[in-house]
Formats: sequence, structure tokens, C-alpha cells
Amino acid sequence: MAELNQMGQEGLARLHQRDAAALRAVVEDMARPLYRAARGMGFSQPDAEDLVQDVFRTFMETIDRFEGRSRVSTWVFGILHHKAQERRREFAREDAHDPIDDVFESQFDGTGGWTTPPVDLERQIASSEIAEAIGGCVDRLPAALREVFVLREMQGLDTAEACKILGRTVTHVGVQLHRARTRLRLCLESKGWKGSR
Amino acid sequence: MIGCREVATLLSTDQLGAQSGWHWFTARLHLAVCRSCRGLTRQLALLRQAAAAVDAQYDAEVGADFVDRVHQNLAL
Repeated sequence: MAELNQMGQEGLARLHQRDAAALRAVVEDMARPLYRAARGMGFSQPDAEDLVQDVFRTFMETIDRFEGRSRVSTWVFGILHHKAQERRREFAREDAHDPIDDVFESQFDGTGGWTTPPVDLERQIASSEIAEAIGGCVDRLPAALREVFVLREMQGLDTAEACKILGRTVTHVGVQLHRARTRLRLCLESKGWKGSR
Repeated sequence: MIGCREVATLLSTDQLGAQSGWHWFTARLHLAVCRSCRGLTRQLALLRQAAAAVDAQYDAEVGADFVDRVHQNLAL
């Protein structure tokens, strides 16, 4: 993605001209990350593949509106975000208050100290084991929180890029990430992920 | 003095690095002496490790010809 992210005026012009090589480069760089993100958001394998095609179709149709002020990856992840919302018919209605906030607060006493400290997970865990354990937990996340977690933790995007993609403020994304992480930590603890303390 | 709740919130919202000098320093100092909050940092690291492992599984499930198929369907 590095090359695309450093696109200059020449690269942008080639995209606007629908230059096949430039478009192929975008597909080569972004197809698999988009697929993985769609899977992370909960779409099935066939739906995720179809979604990727749909994202690139829209990318090619709307490419004239891309002015190069953001990375190409931000632009296409933004298309994915909107397509995913359309398909889920779930328009990010989000409660100002999430019950997980009360759960988080209940972990502290009146002075702000932990009453139930996080389990200290010190042991090394096999990737397959950890992937299996977290899979069910991620599936139970509300869609909006799941999407933030996927972009930030699975795709490794920084908070600023996630904010651009989702059209949300840094504070909003931070709160959503916090809620997702709190749910996932508690979910893993409930599965018996207890290390040494 | 900054407490566990505030440090935990800064860590969990990814806002620790965005803090100004003194606030950042006191939060880091708290982390240095608080085993419970360090436990939280390890849990958050574990979540990242888990997310990367799931991501790798998704990448492995899609065929090697996936990108070629996308190219073909887009007539590129």
C-alpha cells in the first residue's frame, strides 16, 4: 500500500483516466485487505467476495470525486463502510449509553482504583488458539463497535484514518474502541483465559 | 494523582499518546508502579494478537486467485 499511499499528481491523473495499470495496482493492493475487513465485519465468504467486487465497481464509478486528499486505502475502506451499512440495513444507530460502560465503571472503587483488576495474561498463546477463542466474542459485538475494532486492530489503521473512513470524531471512535475492547476482554476472561496474577 | 480508572480509560480509548506532557508523564508513571494497569496493557496486547490471528485466517481462506478474479470481473 505504500506506493499507493504516496500517490502524486501523476498517479491521481492516471486513476482519473481509468488507466488499467493504475486500477490494477489499486486492486492488487486492496482486494485482500478489503476481503479480510469484510469478513471481520461478519460477512460470509461469498458475501465478502461480492462486497469487494462491489467496492471496486463503486471505486471506478466515483473515481473522479477522489481528489487525492486522503490515501486511496482510506477512500476504498470508506466505500466498504458505506456498502456494509447498506447491506446490513443497519444505520449505526448507537445508544449514547452503552451498558458496557456501567460494567467498566463497576470495576473501580470510589477513589478510581481497580476493584476487579484485569487478569494478567502473561503466557504465550498459540495463534490458532487465540483466534478460535476470540472469534465468538467478536461475533457478539454490535456492528458499529465491530467495525471500529476490525479497522483499528485487524487492519492496523491508525485512529485518524479510521475516523476519516467512518466519518466520526476521534472521541467517538475512541469510545467505540473502548467499548469493543471492554466487551472482548470480559468475553475472553469469561472463557477462562486466566494467566498468572 | 492520576488513578487506575483514568489510566485504563486512556489506554482503552487509545488516547494515552494524545495527552499533554505532564498528564502523559503521570499516566506513564502510574503504569510503571501499578501491576493491575499493566495487566490491562497485556490484555489489550493480547486482543491485538488475537485480531491479527483472525485476520491471518481470513487471508488464508481466500484463494490465491482471488485478486485475479476481481481483475477479471472488473474487466481490467
